[in-house]
Amino acid sequence: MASLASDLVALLPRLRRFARSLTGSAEQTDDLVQAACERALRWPEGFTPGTRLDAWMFRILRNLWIDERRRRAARGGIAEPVEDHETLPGADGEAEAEARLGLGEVERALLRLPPEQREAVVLICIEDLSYREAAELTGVPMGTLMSRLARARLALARELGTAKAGDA
Amino acid sequence: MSVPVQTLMAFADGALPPEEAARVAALVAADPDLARQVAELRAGRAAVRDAFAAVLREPVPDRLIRAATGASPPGAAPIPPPPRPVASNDNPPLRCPPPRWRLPAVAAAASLLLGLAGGWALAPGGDPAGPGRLGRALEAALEGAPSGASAGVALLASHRLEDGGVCRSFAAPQGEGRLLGLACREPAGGWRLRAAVAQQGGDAVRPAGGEDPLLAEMLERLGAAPAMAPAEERAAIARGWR
Repeated sequence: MASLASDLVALLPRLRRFARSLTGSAEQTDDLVQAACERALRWPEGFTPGTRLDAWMFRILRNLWIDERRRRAARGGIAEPVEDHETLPGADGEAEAEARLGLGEVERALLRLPPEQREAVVLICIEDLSYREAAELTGVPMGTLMSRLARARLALARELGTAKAGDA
Repeated sequence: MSVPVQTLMAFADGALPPEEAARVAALVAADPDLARQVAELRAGRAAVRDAFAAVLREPVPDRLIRAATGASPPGAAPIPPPPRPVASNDNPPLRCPPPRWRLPAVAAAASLLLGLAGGWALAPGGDPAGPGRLGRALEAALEGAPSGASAGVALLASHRLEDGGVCRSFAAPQGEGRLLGLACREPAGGWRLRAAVAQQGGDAVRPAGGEDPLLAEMLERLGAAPAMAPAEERAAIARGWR
């Protein structure tokens, strides 16, 4: 447990990046990371020594995120902060809010993806897991995972390409 | 000839076995539409790769360090309290587990440090000075003692930061080994602990504090210059580190 705790501390920056890229919300990020650490330390036997600690923690954090989205949906709340964000009126105000939140063009494009595509992108393109590791972590067949990932990447490339052409 | 998009993606990621990669490469070379898809798949990956890199550089909130070490938060199920981590809450994050970061040793080290620091505030929101602030005896040594051998707490080296600030490494005997710490001077005065690491037993001569991997990494992240020469350090102490 002691070494798990020290490894967790070292992993915190990456857990925060993972949570932030999944949720797009600075507030949710730290709540999720905290909850994931607490859960991990409460059931440390869930971790198999010799396997990737980051993947285990990502799995815990991702499951908490899914629970949270379900709870919000059940309450009739807004499942994704970006949807709320996008309804903000006024282009200038929106740009200002985005700058303040540190939400770049790429992040917004990522947040517009369906959650299951987004998590595939985050796990593989940001956290550098293999297709197989990401498929195991999310509990979907590798073909499904790869298909989601490919669609997401094409969508990102087209959206960001279009955005750039539009700006020019 | 059509190629499944998953196969194109694996090709773009270099994840195909050599023979299949060669086959797909030939198809892509012969078909502008396939080539465009491969380019888009690559661009999609490249676009997001570094989009969240800034998050890695953000300070990790103290409450997360407490959660990661099992320091029980209010309302959580009781967890046996493991020791407080040695890195203070506002450190730049570490990229990977430091090799000598052994928590059992650190546990003893941390309690020693608490004794040393005499008021290194750990309670959430407890000390108005904030966590990582050091006690007066250690602060006095950091503020005024030259680097060099000492029976008790020894100052090891002083480093100037890019912004004009200063950090000092120090060592304190601890059991058969020693505790190494790095403290940095606050702009308004006073010193804040940025990192500490316990080193085990006297099996070998230890390098100076700045050469410990953890402290070295912290110094690098802080943009610290190499250790000051003794004369430069004396002058800096005389000027109150300004």
